[in-house]
Amino acid sequence: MARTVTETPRPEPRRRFGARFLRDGYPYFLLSPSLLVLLLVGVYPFVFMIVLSFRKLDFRRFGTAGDFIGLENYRSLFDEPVFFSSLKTTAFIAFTSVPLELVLGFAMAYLFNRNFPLKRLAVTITIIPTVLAPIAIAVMWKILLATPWGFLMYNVFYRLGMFEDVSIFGSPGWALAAIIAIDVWEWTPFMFLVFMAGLGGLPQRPYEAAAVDGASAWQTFWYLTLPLLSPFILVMLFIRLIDAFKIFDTIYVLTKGGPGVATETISIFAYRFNFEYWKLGESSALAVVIFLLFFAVFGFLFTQLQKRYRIF
Amino acid sequence: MTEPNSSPAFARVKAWGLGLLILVVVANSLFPYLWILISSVKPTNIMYATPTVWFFTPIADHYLSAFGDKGFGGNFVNSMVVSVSTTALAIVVGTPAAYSFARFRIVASDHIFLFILSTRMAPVISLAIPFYLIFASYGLLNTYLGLILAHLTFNLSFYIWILRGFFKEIPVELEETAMIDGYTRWQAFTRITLPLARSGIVAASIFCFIFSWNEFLFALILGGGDVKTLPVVIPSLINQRGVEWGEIAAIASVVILPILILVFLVQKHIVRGLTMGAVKG
Amino acid sequence: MSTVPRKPYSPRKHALALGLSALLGLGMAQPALGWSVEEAAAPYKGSELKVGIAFVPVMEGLLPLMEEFGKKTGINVKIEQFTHGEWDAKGDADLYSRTGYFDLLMMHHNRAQDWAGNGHVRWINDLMNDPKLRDPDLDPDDFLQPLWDDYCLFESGKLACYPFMNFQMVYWFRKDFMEHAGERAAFKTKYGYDLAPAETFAQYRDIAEFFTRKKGEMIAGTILEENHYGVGVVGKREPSLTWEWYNILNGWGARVFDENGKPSFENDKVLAATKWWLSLREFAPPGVAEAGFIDLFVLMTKGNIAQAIQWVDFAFAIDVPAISKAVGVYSYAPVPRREASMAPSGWGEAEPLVISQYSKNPEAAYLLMQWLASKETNKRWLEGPGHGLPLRKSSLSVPIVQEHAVFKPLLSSMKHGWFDPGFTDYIQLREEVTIQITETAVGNQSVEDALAKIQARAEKVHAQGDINPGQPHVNQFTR
Repeated sequence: MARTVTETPRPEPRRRFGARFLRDGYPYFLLSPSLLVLLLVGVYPFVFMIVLSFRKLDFRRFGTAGDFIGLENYRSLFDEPVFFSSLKTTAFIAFTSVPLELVLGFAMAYLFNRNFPLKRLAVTITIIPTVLAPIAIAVMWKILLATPWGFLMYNVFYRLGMFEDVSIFGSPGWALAAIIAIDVWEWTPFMFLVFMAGLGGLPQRPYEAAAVDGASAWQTFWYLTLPLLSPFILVMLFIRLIDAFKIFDTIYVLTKGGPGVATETISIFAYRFNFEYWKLGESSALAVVIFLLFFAVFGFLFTQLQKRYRIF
Repeated sequence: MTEPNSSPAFARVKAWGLGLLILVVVANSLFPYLWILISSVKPTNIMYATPTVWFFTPIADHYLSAFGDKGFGGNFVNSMVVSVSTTALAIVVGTPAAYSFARFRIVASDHIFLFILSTRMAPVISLAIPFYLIFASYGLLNTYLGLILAHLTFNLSFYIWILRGFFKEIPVELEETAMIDGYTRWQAFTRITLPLARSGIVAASIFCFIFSWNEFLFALILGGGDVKTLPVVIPSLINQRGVEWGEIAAIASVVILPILILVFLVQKHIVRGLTMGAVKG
Repeated sequence: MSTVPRKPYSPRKHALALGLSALLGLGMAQPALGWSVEEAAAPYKGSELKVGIAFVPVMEGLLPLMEEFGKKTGINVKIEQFTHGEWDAKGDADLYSRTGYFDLLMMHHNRAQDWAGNGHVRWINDLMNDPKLRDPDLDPDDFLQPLWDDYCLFESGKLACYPFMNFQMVYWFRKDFMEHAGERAAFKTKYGYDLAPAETFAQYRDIAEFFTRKKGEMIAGTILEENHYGVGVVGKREPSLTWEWYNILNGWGARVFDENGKPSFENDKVLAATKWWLSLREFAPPGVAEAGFIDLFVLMTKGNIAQAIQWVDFAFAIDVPAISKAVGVYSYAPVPRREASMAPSGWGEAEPLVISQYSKNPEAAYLLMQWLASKETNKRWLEGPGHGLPLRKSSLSVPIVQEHAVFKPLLSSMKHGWFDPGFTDYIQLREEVTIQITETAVGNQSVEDALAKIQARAEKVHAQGDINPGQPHVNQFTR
């Protein structure tokens, strides 16, 4: 492996390569186990669910999908006022916490992108929130912030004169803020680790060249680091956003969607309809609607970015 | 090459400032964990006392109860089996797939790729019942295999996503050279590309492991008495004896250790692994 | 009333059952010594029984008893425990999908119509009357009412289960405060009557007001290290909110279903009761809006709540020093009501074990179910270290039932309280109640609005499913 190596991440040779192997079907052979698994466990249940969404289900009575009733389930889903509010709430939570996680995680990674003693230990400790079980995190924050005996509440907030008459998880606004804050606490280390990797793998030469040219720290960051990392940032943003829309554990333990429906997200709503009411028709319709929304938004972004920048 | 406003004093202040910031970041993650550790040895009757009881005699009861009487050690084993297996499967099945995407011109590859990503998009809750019904008819309920397959849905897509980008950054010329030298496609893949991809594989699989280790919903619905994983036992500790936070803390503090140790050991691989930058020759 | 004539106690059904058992008793000429559970279980030796339950600490005493059954009979009893919410999901999934994974399932009574009414539960009449399986000492009349009539018997005399778990809510109060001479004097001076466990809601409120004090003030001779509250209330958006609400409604004499079995939430009494109940929060800890019944219990263990309406089985935990700081200071009485002349209130929930329709081992399941409900097992459970719950009249003579203060109010609640109803889609109604009440409590709407929305949902559910009382089951809200 004595060859010199190109520096820019441009996969031009792809076409040449592809022509050589296309006839062999080799790629499909490599790909097929994955596709098979994903088809079985990813698609099959999903298609099943789509079918369910069009059927009149009296699952409790008959245990099978009933008659085809077209869009009836969708109509009754849209009749539920909580459906729309849950979409709004989920979007609010996701689009507030994820950018925060992104910025904070990146800042932390930038901060850590130097040598200092015990760095390995520091990094390991820093990612603890992401590695703790979400269910344990939910209970932990409940015990920290409960009114009036929460550990943090009593020892920090009350001393500072804050939240004296306020119950965090019992007030709509504060509960939402708390959920967002907990999500940020939990997932920023994920972004941190990911960006650490990203920064750590940046090529040296452009930076040396920039230093020779007398670029300031800010210019280096803005014109060099950011562009080099942007594909990476976008990928992580995608992944994290998709996951953020599914937030469930913390809300279920702390507020169960309350007070009222202030913290009721799509997943809590789906949980109710699925496991409490057994209205599988509406719940499936909900899943299909969400999926279509996602697919429309993210799919569109994905194809646009792919077309223009070949990022993925 | 000196910066315009550098001086030893400034550099020292800057170093201390940065050091402080780093300490703050670490503390933000450390203190809750320390608090969990302390809670795990604190008697329940003073656990929620206000004013806070700071000094007390530690007790081992929570650990003994959780891992002794209640046998949560068995759940630990279950979690291990499921997480390790699903990660291993993701690696075995996902690596060739990621390689294909990176290297070959596949019909509608972008669309297939988007499809792979989209398997993550549907709310898991709604999928749980279809999964349950399908698994029930195939006898996969309360089995390791069932849970592993279910976890593969989100792990595989994530793994392929990450690894594809990584493979794309390994220059094709390396493999071409090898093949000119007489290697077969497969040998070029396994002897040249794969070792270079090692970091990416390590990084992506650690994340797969973490996701599976902490997963709750599928483990609850599709598992049963035989394959109950650790996250599933935690809600049972909120019951008519109150919130048994001491035991939850005991479990949480033990559960997190394997991952922390793993991350500590393979850290340099993760750091190198997820990069999308160039490989240094 | 409803179209099907409904009586909580049917003499004819009772006579029929009596007659049948008498016949069987006579038919089996041998004395009771002739039947033993080991013999009855012999054909099923070596088989497996999977039991699914929602774990509650008071059940701990039963688990070794279940294992003992397994050892005696050679049947492999595998018990899987879950939390209530999880068990609902799993139990539902198992039955509705007809998987048959579990043989015995604990049925939350709010699913009675969904499970038993839809044919997922195997009726046990034939098993009970099978001389090979029937324990001659079973004595169904010995079961406490209304457990048998309201929980086990379904339409046309079909029997689903035996009593197994039965919880009631009672009124908890700090007896040490109430016995304190200084407090008694101060109370008498302020309110004009003697300090005693509240019998009416007015007294409940007075006592709540009286014992709400700030940190630094005195209570029962000690200085308070933190604020103290006269009453504990739940406010979190979860089912426990509805339990407490129904306690108050029942005690107020309010009805939520009219004579024709139609929902009727928007009436004056419900309005007044709800407003009064919400006003109690003045004397409750600030975190009410985020507290469920377990959070309430945590607060009680800290020792700064004077009264509450709480479940009976928590009483076994409050006196455990390892868990609680409030050991031995609580006592119990029936839930208060609006006027002393009315019957006390209460609330109950039964969770019997039922046999899955899809079980491959129903006879063995029946034997376990019967054994757990037997006189001896119930007594042993009660006498065990974790205490237990009485299912039978004969168990009332067990020392712990005589001595522990919680059992008398338990029986009162059983007699007068509403129970978790079992009609279809009740859960939807329950969820709507929690949403609307929490919305009202934070001030986003008035109580009238909340009741209107609850009524709307109740009517929607009524239109869809079977909410009609007496179909197939007694509507517990019409007792």
